[in-house]
Amino acid sequence: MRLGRTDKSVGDLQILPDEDVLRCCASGDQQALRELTRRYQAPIFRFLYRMSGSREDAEEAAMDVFTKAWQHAGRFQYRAKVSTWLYRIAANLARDAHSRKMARPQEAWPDERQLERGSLGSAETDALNTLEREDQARQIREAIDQLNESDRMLIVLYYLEERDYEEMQAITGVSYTVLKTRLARARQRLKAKLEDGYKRTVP
Amino acid sequence: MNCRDLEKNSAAWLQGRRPELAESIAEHTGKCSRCALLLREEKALLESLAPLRAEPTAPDLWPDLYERIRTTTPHRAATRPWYAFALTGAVAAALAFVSLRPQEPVRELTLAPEDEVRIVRMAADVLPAPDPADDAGYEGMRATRSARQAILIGYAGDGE
Ligand SMILES: [Zn+2]
Repeated sequence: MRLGRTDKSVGDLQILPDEDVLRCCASGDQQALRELTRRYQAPIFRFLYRMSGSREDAEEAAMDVFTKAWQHAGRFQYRAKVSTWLYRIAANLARDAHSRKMARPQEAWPDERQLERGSLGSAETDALNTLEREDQARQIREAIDQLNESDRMLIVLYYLEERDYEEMQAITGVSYTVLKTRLARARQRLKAKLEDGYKRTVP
Repeated sequence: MNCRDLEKNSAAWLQGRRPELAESIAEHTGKCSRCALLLREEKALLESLAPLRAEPTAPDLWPDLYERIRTTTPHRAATRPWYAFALTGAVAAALAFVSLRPQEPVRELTLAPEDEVRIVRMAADVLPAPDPADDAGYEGMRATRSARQAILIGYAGDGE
């Protein structure tokens, strides 16, 4: 690929902090966008997948996140972390997608078996029987899917994506007190949904 | 550690991200039953969520993304919003007007507060609502301020 005069080499970019990579994006450096995508495509895709339950939708939305980042890089104020900004864009897209989905007939969460082989991670989960694990994961997915969109976003960001309070506040745009209250409520609702699910499977 | 510190850090500690907090968390939950309950609830929830951590592998977005930005997505630097051109035009016209009166001594124009308010409102009217993609929504405020400055310069001439 032919690089512009201002484009940095891939090696240069890899050692730069996120902020400088974004500054290069703002100047039109496509290799910088490639580097930003390399750093954040996995967490952003995962977040969007957890919000939508659809690999295809998550992939499309993740593309939109990085397209928006490319378009708006020059307007970033460097007050928030770059990762927070990307999550914020993703959260807005997830909300929009959710509103559109609500207008369509409900789709069930995909069966975990539809996920790619070899995608399973930690030692803990590997130790479990595959079927049992898929069953458990499906139950939890169903419970999360039954939450309202706002509760689901908080649970996914905080407990699965491991964003801290400050980032959560920047991504969702609410104060500490409001966030604390909503998170507690989301936790209680998820707990109730999970208990319902277990009651149904263990009569 | 106080209750607020615990609320903010308990999940991170349970997820193994803040191991150094073990002692202070144990100390606080030893004397605060509310936080001890929160910690138990979060621990149970994280254990429930563990199977979901079997993550789907992320696709490599770059080939398609590169194609998209190369073929369809103009970079921001090349696409200024229409109002930027409108404001630039207004400022240029005002400056041209001021510079076409060479005999008139340059004067400092001070605006009455109500005029300034009116101009800022005018500027706010032509600006779009803050873009949700902007970090923490500050861009709208900044844009309004820039527009205000641009219009004030246009109104008063450059003064120098
Ligand atoms: Zn406490």
